[in-house]
Amino acid sequence: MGIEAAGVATLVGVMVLARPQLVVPALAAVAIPEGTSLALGGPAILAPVLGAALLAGAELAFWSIDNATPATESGRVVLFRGLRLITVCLVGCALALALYALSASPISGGFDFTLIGTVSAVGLMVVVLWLGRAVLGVGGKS
Amino acid sequence: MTRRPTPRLTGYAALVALGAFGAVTLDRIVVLALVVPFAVWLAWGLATAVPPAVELTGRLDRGRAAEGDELFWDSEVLCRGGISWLELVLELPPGIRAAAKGARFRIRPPAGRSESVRWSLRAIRWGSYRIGPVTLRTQDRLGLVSYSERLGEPAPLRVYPSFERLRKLVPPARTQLFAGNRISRRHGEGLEFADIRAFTPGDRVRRVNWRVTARTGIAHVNEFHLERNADLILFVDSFADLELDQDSVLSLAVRAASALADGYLGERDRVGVVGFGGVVRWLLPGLGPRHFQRVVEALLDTQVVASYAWRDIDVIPSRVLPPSATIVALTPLLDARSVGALADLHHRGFDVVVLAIAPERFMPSSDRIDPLALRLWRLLRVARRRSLQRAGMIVLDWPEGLALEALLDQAREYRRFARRSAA
Repeated sequence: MGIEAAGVATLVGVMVLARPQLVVPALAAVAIPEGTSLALGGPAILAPVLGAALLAGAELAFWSIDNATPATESGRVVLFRGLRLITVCLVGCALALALYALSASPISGGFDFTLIGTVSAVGLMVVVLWLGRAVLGVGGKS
Repeated sequence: MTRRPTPRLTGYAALVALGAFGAVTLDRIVVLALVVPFAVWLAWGLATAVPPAVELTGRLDRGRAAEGDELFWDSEVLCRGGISWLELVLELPPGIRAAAKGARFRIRPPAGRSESVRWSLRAIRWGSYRIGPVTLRTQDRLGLVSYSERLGEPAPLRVYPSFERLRKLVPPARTQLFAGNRISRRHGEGLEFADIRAFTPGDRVRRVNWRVTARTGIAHVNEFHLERNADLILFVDSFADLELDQDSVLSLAVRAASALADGYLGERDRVGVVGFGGVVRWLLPGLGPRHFQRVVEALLDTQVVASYAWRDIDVIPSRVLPPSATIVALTPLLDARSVGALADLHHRGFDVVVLAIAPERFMPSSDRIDPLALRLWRLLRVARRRSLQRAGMIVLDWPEGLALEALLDQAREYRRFARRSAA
C-alpha cells in the first residue's frame, strides 16, 4: 500500500512538473504491488485488465503533460484519442488472454513447439528492430 | 528530417522488455500479459509512423529597419499528409525579439492546403542579423516518434541605430578648403564681415566701403570671412565593452556616432569613421546624405574583437585622417591602447574631443564586485582621463542620465573658454 501511495504521489508530481520521461517509471511503481502478487500466483485473469489500466493511465498522464494537443481543444481530438486507447486496450486484453490460454493448454514441450517458440521469439525481435530502425532511421536522421 | 524516440517510446519499450524478461525468468506468462497492451501500442505506432511531408517558405517583410521598429516574418506551410499538430519555431538572433505571442506557433495544418503563419518581431538593438530559418517539430499520431527539421533560408536584416537629432554641435577648431557652412578665419567672399583693407586692382567695386573711402580719401574695400566646411573623424573605441540588459557601451557609442554624423553631414562637413579595436576599420571622409548611409553601414559592422596585439594609429592610412581634422572620440577609457592612440593623435596636431562614456551604468550591481578592485578600476580610469586633459584635449565624462546634446554643450563651453583664455 505504501509503495502504491508513493507511486501515485510520484505520478502526480511528474504530471505537475511536466516530466514525461518519468511517467512510465512512476506508473511502474504504482503497479509493483499488484504485479508482484500476480507474478507470485495471484488471479491471472486480472493481468490483461491491469495491463490495459496501466496503458490508459500512462496515456492520460502523457496527454495531461502534452500541451501541444490539449484535450480541451476539440471534441474530435478527444474522440479519436479515446477510440485509439479503447481499441488498443481491447486488442491488448484479447491478445493477453489468448497468450494466457495458450500457456495454460496441455500442448507443450517437444522439439517442434520449442522450435516454433524460438523462431517466433527471434522473429518478433527482428520485426521490432526493423520497425524501430525504419521509423527512426540510421543514426536518427534521414 | 531528424527523428527521435519520444519518452513514450523508450518507456513503453523498456516496460515490454522488462515484462518479457520477467516472464522468461520467473516462468510466468502472466507477467508478459501485463505488458501486452504496451506492446500493441508500440507495434501499431511504429508500423504507422510516417515522416511528415511539409513544405515551408518564409520571408521577412523588409531587409532594413531602425531600432524599435516592428517587423513581420510570413511563412506559408503546406502539409501533403494529415498531421495532428505542427510546432513552428522561428530562430531569432539576440537583438531581435518576438512580440507577445512569442517565436513559437502550434498549428493544425489541413492536409493538402497551405496555411499562413505570421510572426511579429521587434528590432531591439542595431546590428547586422540573419532571421530564421524555421524549425518545425511534430510527432506521429501515437506519440512515439518526434520529427524535427529546419526549413527555409535565413533572411538578412540590417537594423540601424536610433539616434537623437542634435541641434548644436561642437564647432571644429579648423576649417578646410571646400565650401561649407562654417565661418573660416581666412578672408574672401562670404557673408560675415571680417575687416577693411585698402583697394587693390581686381577688387569688386560693390565691395568698396564708401564711408571709409570718403573719410580717408583712399579707396577701401570690405573683407568677409570665407565659409568653409570642416573634416570630422568619428573615432569609436571597440577594444572593450560592457553589456547589461541588451544595451552596452559600444551600442551607446554607435548611436552617438550616428547622431554626430547626421549633424555634421547636415552642416556640409566631411565625416569619416575609424573603428579602433581588435579589428581596425575605417571609412574615408565624405559628404552628403548618401555618405551618411555609408557611415551608418560602417558603424553597423563595429564589434568588439578580443585582441592582445598592440595597436597604434600608424595602422590607419594617412588619407583617413586629413590634416587639421577634428576627431571626436567615443570611448569608455578602459583600454590603454585607445588612450595612447588619442594622445598620439593630439600630439600630431589633430583637434581631439573625447567623450568618455561612463561604463558604470552597464555593470552588474556592485554587491557582486570586490570594493577594492572596483575602486582601483575607477581610479585607473580617472588617471587616464586626467592624463588626456593635461595634454590639452577636451575630455568630457558622459555619465548616466546626461543627454548627448547636454554633453556637447559642455564641449562648446570648454572650447569657448579655451579661446578666451588663449586670447
